[in-house]
Amino acid sequence: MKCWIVRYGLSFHLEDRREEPAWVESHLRHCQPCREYLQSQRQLGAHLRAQAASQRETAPAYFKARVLHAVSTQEHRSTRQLPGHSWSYYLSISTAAACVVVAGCLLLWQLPNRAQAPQLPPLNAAWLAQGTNRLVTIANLEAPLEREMQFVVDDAKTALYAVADGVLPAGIWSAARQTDR
Amino acid sequence: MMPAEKSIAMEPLQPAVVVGVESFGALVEQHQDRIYNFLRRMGLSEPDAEDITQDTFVKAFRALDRFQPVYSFSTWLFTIARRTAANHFRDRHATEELPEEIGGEHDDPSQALVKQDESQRLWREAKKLKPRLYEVLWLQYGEGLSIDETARVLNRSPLYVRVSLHRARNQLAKILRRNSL
Ligand SMILES: [Zn+2]
Repeated sequence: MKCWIVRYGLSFHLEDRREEPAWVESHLRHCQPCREYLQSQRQLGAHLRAQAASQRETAPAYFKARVLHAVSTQEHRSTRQLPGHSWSYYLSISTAAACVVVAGCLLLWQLPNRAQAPQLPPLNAAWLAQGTNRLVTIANLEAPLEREMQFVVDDAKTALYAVADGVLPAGIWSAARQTDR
Repeated sequence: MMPAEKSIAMEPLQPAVVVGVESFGALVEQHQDRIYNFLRRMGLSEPDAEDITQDTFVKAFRALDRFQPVYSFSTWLFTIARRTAANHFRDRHATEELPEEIGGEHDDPSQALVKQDESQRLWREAKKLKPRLYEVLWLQYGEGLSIDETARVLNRSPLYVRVSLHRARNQLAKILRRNSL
């Protein structure tokens, strides 16, 4: 048996810590250089393991906090950023939903008053008649529900625009307002 | 031969019990030094090693539900770290290998002048090996990974690891013999 074949096989399974095959064992018994080779390879591995400690560097002290900050930032972003639409898309959707909710609340609040509409005090009718807005005619006091509903929605929108103009960056609502009017 | 079981036994905290960022912190604390040091051993600068260690943990956190404990958690982290580093340097240098500066520290004249402790000699000489051989040697003897785990990290076959280890040890032995003459 050629020594290089034996050494290749020895080196190949050096880390497996298993018994050598019979043919390798028999070669080793008769070949001093191969025994020395095996011994030197095992020693080299042992020294590499032992000296690895000298190669250790540790991450900086602040590192864990830095990683956790990055992880939580990424997690926060991944739950907030839904793919496909911009933030303004979601803002519009939210605003529309808010309008519907506000309009619904106002409508519920108005319903009992409508039942008493024929008994409105004259002062109210006179005040409305003096106004220059679209509620000016008496006919509007008995307008169909849809029309009154539209006024309520318009008022809610106006209120929201006013709030939004004060809170959000300028210009965002102007286009929406123009299309409405 | 069940090296993965041994590694799991050495790692008391497993990702299965991780539910949030806070408990993930314990895993970071447990593994950050090994990952950071691995990247430093592969020749990355301190800032690069910090950045890629951080990216490794962020990616691991986001993919925790895909972790399958066939191999140890640290093996998984090494795999992510190595791939992240390779991508990082491929983007930077348009090369698939980890940077050529890996293993190049011996070319630095100032390094050669530094009288290093004898305990660092083996790994210092090992730096003269090709980067891919040094990497296999480090994962095997520096990190104590099994053949299968090393193959997993390198995305290569166990046969590739065995052949590389055989070459690395023999070339290192040659370097040591030449230097002692
Ligand atoms: Zn022989």
